[in-house]
Amino acid sequence: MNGEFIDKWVSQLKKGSLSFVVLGILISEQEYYGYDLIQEVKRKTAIDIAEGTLYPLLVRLKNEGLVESNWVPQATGIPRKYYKITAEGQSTFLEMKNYWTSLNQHLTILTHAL
Amino acid sequence: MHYNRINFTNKYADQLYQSYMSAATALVKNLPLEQQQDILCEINSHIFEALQYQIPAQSIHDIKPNQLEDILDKLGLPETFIQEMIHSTSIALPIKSSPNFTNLLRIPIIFTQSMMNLIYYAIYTLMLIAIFLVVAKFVDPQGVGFFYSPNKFFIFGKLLLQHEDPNRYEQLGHYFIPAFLLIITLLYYSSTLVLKLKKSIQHKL
Repeated sequence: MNGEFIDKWVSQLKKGSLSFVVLGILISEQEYYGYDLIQEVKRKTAIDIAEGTLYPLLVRLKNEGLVESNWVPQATGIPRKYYKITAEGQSTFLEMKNYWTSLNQHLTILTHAL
Repeated sequence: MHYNRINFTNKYADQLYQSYMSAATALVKNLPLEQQQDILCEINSHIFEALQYQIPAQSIHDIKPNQLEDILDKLGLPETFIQEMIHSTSIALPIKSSPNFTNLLRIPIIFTQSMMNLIYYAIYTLMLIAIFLVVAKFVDPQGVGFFYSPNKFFIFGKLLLQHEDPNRYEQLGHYFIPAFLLIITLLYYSSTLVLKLKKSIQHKL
């Protein structure tokens, strides 16, 4: 078995689906700060992401207008940056979800046929 | 907004934190100040929240160095994920529509460079003429020279007098070729100097 190839494939799959996962968590309309969001991704998907990879993704999602953020001062003196999904982010997620469901169905048929 | 530094009682943990934040600061230094602070505050917030999450019963200021190391390892090297953040942030930055003053400041340099080109080609042309005259002097020693007659004529080259003895007006005589070889050498060094100056100006552009 080509372990290296599988590792790369799994890594690409995780990376490629991370934006879908993040929008899927934020669709609940609850606001999350970066570290909290990472823990939520780990809890809900069992994906052990490199924590640093989430922040560039959040910047990209913000640039696309899919999420918005605001700094909230904390009693500790270290403010938190909270992220929430936008209306555009919600509709984009629904489109992604439809595609994901369709892809999943096709892949299920494919794997069952083997 | 500036990030509020987290203080650690452990000296090694403090150094670890400081060097991580210094590396991050160095990476974002070319971004506009607002974006710089946004990224640094986010990283600082991540470190602080991770400390609070992982060691809730312990004061974060008394953290052990290996606990902080673990948090920073999970976050990743600043060079990797911050570069990606910078790239994503830079794409979103608006393109400045104000006049480019850097280009305006280049105008005198561009003008000087054009003048250098002009001087270089003038020297080069003079050098070619001088070489031609040396060759011509060999071919026609009587007709080529530095001819001068007060209130009559001044010719530096080929004399086209049909009925007069050209030697009457020749000023350089046998010194013509050595004098011209000296002139060619001087012109050659002058053109090299102009080329060097031109290249040094190009580096400034």
